[in-house]
Amino acid sequence: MADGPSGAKKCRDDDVLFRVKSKEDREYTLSKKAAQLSGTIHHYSENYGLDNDEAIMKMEPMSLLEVSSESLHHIIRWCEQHRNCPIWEEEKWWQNERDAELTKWEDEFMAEMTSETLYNLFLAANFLDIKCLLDKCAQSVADMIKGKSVDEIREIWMLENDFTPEEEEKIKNENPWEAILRYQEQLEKEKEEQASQPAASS
Amino acid sequence: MKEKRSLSRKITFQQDKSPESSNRTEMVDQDRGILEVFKRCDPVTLRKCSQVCRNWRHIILTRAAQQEDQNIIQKIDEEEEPALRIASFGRLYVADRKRIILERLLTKDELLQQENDLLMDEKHSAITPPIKVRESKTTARDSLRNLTITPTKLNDSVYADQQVAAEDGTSWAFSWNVNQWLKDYEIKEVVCHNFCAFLEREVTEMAEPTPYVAGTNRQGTIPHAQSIAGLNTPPWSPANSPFQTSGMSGGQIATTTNGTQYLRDISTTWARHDLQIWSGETMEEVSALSSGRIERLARVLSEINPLHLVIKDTTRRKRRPLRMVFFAIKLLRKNLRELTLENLTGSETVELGQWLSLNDLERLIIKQPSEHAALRVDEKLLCKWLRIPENRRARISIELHGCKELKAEGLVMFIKAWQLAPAVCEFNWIKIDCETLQPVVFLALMDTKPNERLSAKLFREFTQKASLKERKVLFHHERGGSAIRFSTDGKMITLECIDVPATKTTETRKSSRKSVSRNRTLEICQRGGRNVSRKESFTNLLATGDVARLMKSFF
Repeated sequence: MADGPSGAKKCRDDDVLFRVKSKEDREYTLSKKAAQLSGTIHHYSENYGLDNDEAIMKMEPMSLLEVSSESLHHIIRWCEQHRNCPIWEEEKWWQNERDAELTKWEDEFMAEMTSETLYNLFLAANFLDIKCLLDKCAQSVADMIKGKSVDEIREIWMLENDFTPEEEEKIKNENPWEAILRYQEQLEKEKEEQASQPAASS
Repeated sequence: MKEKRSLSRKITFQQDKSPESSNRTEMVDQDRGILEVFKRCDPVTLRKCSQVCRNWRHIILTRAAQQEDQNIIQKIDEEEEPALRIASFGRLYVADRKRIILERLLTKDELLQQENDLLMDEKHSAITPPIKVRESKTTARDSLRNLTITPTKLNDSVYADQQVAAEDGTSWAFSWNVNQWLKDYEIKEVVCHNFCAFLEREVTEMAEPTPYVAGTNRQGTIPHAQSIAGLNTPPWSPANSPFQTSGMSGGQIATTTNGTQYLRDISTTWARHDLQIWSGETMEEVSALSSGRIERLARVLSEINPLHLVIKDTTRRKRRPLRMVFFAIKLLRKNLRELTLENLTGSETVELGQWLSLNDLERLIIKQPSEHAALRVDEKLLCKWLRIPENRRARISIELHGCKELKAEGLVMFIKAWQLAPAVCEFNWIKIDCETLQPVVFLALMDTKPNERLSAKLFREFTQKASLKERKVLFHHERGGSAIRFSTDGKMITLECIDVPATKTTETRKSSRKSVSRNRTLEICQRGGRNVSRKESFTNLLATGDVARLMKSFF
């Protein structure tokens, strides 16, 4: 796999390393600082008492069954590059004015991605709860689907059209406001039905 | 092949030391991730996303509904939480070269406001409101929200915004930027009102002050009598129409002999004229008349895809060169899928089939004015569609109103040409108003000579006992499997292309197509008493696009 944009940061020798394993059972390491960007790893650390360096050094690799090796490789690159950024809990720090070099690196990083890699990376970022990467991926995906037809969007996301032909025809011509109104009515109806069910059974 | 994925599945991670001790933690639903994408989409993209699959639709509508709820209680701080806004349908209205108007469907808030206003008005003046208000089932929600209001018509539109080109400099005409509108509104339809009306004045100014001097530049070679628009290729005005010279009156076929002569003449003229259309000379002329203005309009509208272009005259155009309309259509051709030409008037008459390319066109609506029609629309337009290469021929729907030149004989010609086309040319429907073409006339023609050129098996009336008006007729394609169904509801004649089970006869026909062609060719030879080679069979003539010979062979 490519090392990515020039000037990429890597783990240092003195870093405390966090061990993770991809769904293909390949083990990777990332620095403790880089791992702090992930909400999922943070929760995992809390659950398994990985609150000090010694515990981390002795840890069993954390298994990420939903993340492929390729995606994990890219995620580690991203996290190492952002190791000095605020941790996962801090919201939307990336929207503030920041290092131009980092922004440039991010753009180069995203430019490397094919639609499928980006799709997988997006899912992995969502799974690992890395907000800054999720934001970047979401923006890239939004840019990618802009100006595309419905069929092309399905193709990019590899989704099946599960509407019936009648539904499809109706949706094409509907007024969005009416659709929302109808949907609200439907939700209310469902709620009422749910509410009436226990009463009826009792 | 890539496997289709479902984005509704939940993501889990599992500590794989042992299944018993595994700490299966359900993570945030993937829907949250998709929502992050949706928040970054413009309303038009979001609308498209809501049509992708059920799950996406559910996410978008739930979120939009939630936001709508919040919106009523308190305005959402959009900076903190970008709202999901689904685009409304919009329509652009090109009023003139200076002004463009955006129209949109009424939003719910507006409807509520209107309803409130009308209720207030009603109290005061007892006027019946023009919108229907129906009370839905009572819930605990705000009383206003229990009212579902249906607009009087689904396509009711209201003024939304406009842009006025600033008249500074020389290139101000049609200089608008509609990009933001295209992000907020799903726009397909563009209505051009009295298109290029300003050229009437300019052409007059160019034509009148300078007397005609042969061989001088364009401005000097515009005698009004010869060319209204100052064009080198003379327009087909009633005065110089080839239909006049070939013994035809108003495009009507007087006799078969005359008809043959007419078709030969017109075909020759057309062949010559075809070469001239959009030739360097014509392009120079239209470019000079346009002076970059039509090109600018085309650039403004180039992002609209698919495009439904409506060109509509409300007052009579006397001097506007009609080819400017076709020049605009030509420039917008890439995204043009639907075209409506309504009430186009002028002193010149142009053959629509000659000027309009039907490639990739999915819908064509022609509404002719009662007099001074600028377009001549007849069966040749339909035959032209048959000759489009298969990869460029869309399944078209055509609606013709007031096209007087399209006679029953012409319609029969088209049907026969369709039946004999090498492959089935599928279309949705062709509708013709009954005031222009009476179904009884068409059916009477079919009664007298239903199978002049074809075997009786290709023609079948399946409601023979019905009155002429209610009769339905099937015209099978020679290859079988498809047919044109003729029907009428008293207002419109409808020709529909339908699938029919292939009969034994048609299957046999399919297998011995070569011999059929030979027999047909022989039939032509015997009837016409001329030595016609096999190359001139209907199929070949249709494929080669030899209009003269094709039309000739019908008689």
